[in-house]
Amino acid sequence: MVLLFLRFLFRKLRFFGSSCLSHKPEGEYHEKQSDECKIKTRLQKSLDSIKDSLGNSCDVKTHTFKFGPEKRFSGAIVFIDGLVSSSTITESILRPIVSWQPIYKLGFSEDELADLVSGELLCAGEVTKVSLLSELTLGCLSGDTAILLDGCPFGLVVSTKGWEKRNVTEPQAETVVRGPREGFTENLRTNTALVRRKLKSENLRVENLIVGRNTQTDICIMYLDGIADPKVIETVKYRISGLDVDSILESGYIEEYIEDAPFSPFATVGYTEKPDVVAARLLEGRVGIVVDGTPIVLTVPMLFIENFQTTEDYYTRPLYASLVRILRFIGYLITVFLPAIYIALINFHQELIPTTLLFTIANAREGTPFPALLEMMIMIFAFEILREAGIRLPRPVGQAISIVGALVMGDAAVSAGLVGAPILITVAITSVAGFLVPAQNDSASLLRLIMMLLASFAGWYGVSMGFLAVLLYIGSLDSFGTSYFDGFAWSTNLQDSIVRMPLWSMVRRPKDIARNNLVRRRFFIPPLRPHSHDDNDDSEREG
Amino acid sequence: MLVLLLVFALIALIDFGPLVRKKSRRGMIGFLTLFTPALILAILLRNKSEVPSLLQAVDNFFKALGFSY
Amino acid sequence: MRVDKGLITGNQFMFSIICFIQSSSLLTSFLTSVTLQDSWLIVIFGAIFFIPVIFIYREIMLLFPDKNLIQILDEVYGPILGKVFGIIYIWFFLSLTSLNVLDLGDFTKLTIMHETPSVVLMIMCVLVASIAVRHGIGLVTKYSTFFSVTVSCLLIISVLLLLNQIKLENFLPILSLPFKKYVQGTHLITTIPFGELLVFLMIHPSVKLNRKQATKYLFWGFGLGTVSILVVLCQNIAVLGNMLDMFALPTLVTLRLINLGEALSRMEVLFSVILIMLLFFKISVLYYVSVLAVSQMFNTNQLRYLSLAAGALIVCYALTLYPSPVEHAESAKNITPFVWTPIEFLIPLLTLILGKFKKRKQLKEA
Repeated sequence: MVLLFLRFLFRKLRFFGSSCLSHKPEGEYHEKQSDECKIKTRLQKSLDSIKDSLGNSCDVKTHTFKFGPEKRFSGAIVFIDGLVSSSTITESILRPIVSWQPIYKLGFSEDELADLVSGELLCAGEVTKVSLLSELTLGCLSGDTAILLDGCPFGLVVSTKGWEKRNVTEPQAETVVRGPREGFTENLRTNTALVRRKLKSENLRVENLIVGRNTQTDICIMYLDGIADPKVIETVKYRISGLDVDSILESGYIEEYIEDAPFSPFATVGYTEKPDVVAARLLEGRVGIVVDGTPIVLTVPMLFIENFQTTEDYYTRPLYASLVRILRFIGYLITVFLPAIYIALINFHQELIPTTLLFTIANAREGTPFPALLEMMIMIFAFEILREAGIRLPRPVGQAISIVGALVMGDAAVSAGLVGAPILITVAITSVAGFLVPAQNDSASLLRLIMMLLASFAGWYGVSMGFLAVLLYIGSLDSFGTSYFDGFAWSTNLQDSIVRMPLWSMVRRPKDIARNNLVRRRFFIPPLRPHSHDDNDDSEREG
Repeated sequence: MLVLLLVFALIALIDFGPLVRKKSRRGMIGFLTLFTPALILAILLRNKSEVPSLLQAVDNFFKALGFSY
Repeated sequence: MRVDKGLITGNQFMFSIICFIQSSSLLTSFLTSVTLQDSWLIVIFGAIFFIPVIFIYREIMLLFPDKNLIQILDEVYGPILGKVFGIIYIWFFLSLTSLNVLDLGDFTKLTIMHETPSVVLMIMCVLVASIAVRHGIGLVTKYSTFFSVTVSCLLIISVLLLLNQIKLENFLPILSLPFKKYVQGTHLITTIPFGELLVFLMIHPSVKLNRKQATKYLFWGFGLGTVSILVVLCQNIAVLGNMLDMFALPTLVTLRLINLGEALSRMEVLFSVILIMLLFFKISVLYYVSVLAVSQMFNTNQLRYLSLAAGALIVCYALTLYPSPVEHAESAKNITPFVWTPIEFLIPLLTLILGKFKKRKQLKEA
């Protein structure tokens, strides 16, 4: 029986493994092409095919018109209401075509009608000539207008995108005190434009890919040619274009499909919502992935140290920035290790606690029923509930719930005798310290739990072994060819790790990422002091 | 005893399996030369029987030769 | 055939050497029980006597830049004798690892975890070290800088905190012990902390060094490590004085004596932090070297899959080595230097001479 069950399990796992790994090439879908998919020369037939494939939806609008000398030619436009800006359609497409009055003799075939319309009549900047119905439909769904001409096997797709979109505002998750406050929006072109505004370099490349069967999401890969590693660019393009997925709704989907360590609690693909962060990372040789429909932009390769770096570090003075960075490290260590250290001290190493504190803690633990590990886990669980509820609850109720949370899970729990006050303080410090490095909240929660279990098993030794195991695990991770954590090795990368050395000292780019083009600044000199004018004045007065 | 055998079975499963899959004969021999003494020593230690220490035997040999302070 | 294709930088090599030697600075009781207050002189003498041995190691490294020790033995001594020496060295590496694991288990149980059986502590350490071994040598040497710099800072802090208890007259009388003790002490320090640098001959194929760089990294590493031992020993002698040979862990006792104001006392947690970090590093490197030697002997590159079995063997072997820490210290003082001397000094010297001879013959034929 057991063997049968094991065999069944083994077969299921093998099936899952093989189906996840198989990448069907995109070409398989396009094998369905046949003559049926080409644009028909009869206008009515083409229009009917388009309306059929879009299912006669009520927001698909068509308009037929006649134009040309003696209104000989007929054409039609197809667009989807809500995605287009009607003024552009009227001004750029309909008016020039319909009011065309040629005064010279025409001698061309109907095949060249499309070229004539696009080359001489339309007043739009982005016109594409297509021959397949599917491309016309894709254009309509993207907010462009499709123009069909009777008798011509080609159609035109004109860009008339004009939907409602969000303004460029300050991102709520990444606020700064000093620095630019622009954040990305859900529109792909706005996002690439925001990055281009920061990097006015000819070497900035933007390459397009389309992924997702039902969403047909546009994805742009941005990098600085000459600084970024070509192997990383190749890997990114290979991994994204080889995806066979149903939908890409957010860049998080792309992150999960292309990352190097899918089961790791640490993210090996970085993300951000601000253009100056992306620009800084591109300048160091990374590759940016912009996904349409989300303001979150991915950057690869990512290093562990990036979790502790914010752009504000580089805009404020180096000494203060170094202190704040050290504070962030300490905060991360506190949030992962403080509950474990507390449990280890209480259970195993009571002699390390100062005597007066020991009496207070013993007093507090006298009336509580649970062992230290269980108390700590209950309180951390309660705090996680509070945090998640705080993100999801609607604003009107927020005030009441936060008071209930603070009072109940704080004061009342202690007075009821469920937990002791020292545990509460430990959990409070842990949770608040966790927000110093908000991007690592998920990994910190997981590690915190493991450390607590190790501490209750083997005290301080268990915590040390856990720390070493985590260190080794982080060191063994790889992000797109670069090692994730270099262990604070003795190299020039140390200038920007625990402390932030002044900008004039960062002469080289990080060697692991920008392998070819290392020189950032040509000279290592501090800012020059201006000529002191006192000597000159004295000599002038005397002379 | 059961825990000990379980742990050794786990080690064999994790490490010996891939070696068999790769059909690496030398790897399998190397694994067995490390695994069998460990298993035998572990069972002997579990039964609290006196295992003679190799290092102490070498020490006594050197002492007999006169090399000691 | 390169079993491990990882690469280390020269800096990591140097810091690994420093970590290795620093880890012996905490467990110097076998040395201080022999030459009480003159132990610092012994360290200096030992360092001077060890310099020619470093030259020997450097020459071997430069003569065979792409081969680790087992391959060198095979090449120089021929297939049969090379394999015999290889087996001796595999036994040596396994014994060193087991001795260090035994040290870690016993001393951790003695200082911080009083009630846990030391088997559990040893198994935990070997389990975590096997993560490092599975991913190659680059992983654990990556952290050598971090470990050695942290430990150095902690040692300096501890010296500063003990300044009010240092009594310089504890160094007297100088050079008043019988001559045999000095010989024993120097022999001890050259074989046990310093001689273990032999294991770096197994790792050097991963480091690409020319003559100048090899000299620089070897000597700087050795020098800074020796300075560490010297500082710790001087601190222990100066604070403890006559009581030095009473304790199994003199550094622990000096850290316990820190008393600066009311708040800073009972800093033995510092000791356990340093001990665990350094001994873990040393065990990882030795564990890796043992598994590398075994896989090289059987000429296979499946290093990853031999690691857990080797770990089990190391723990079980460690439990059989000595019945108690007392016998461990006793034999370490008296007999172990003689056992390690042929392995660490004589065979490498012979290998170097024969190796140079063979290379010259090869050059003449070519």
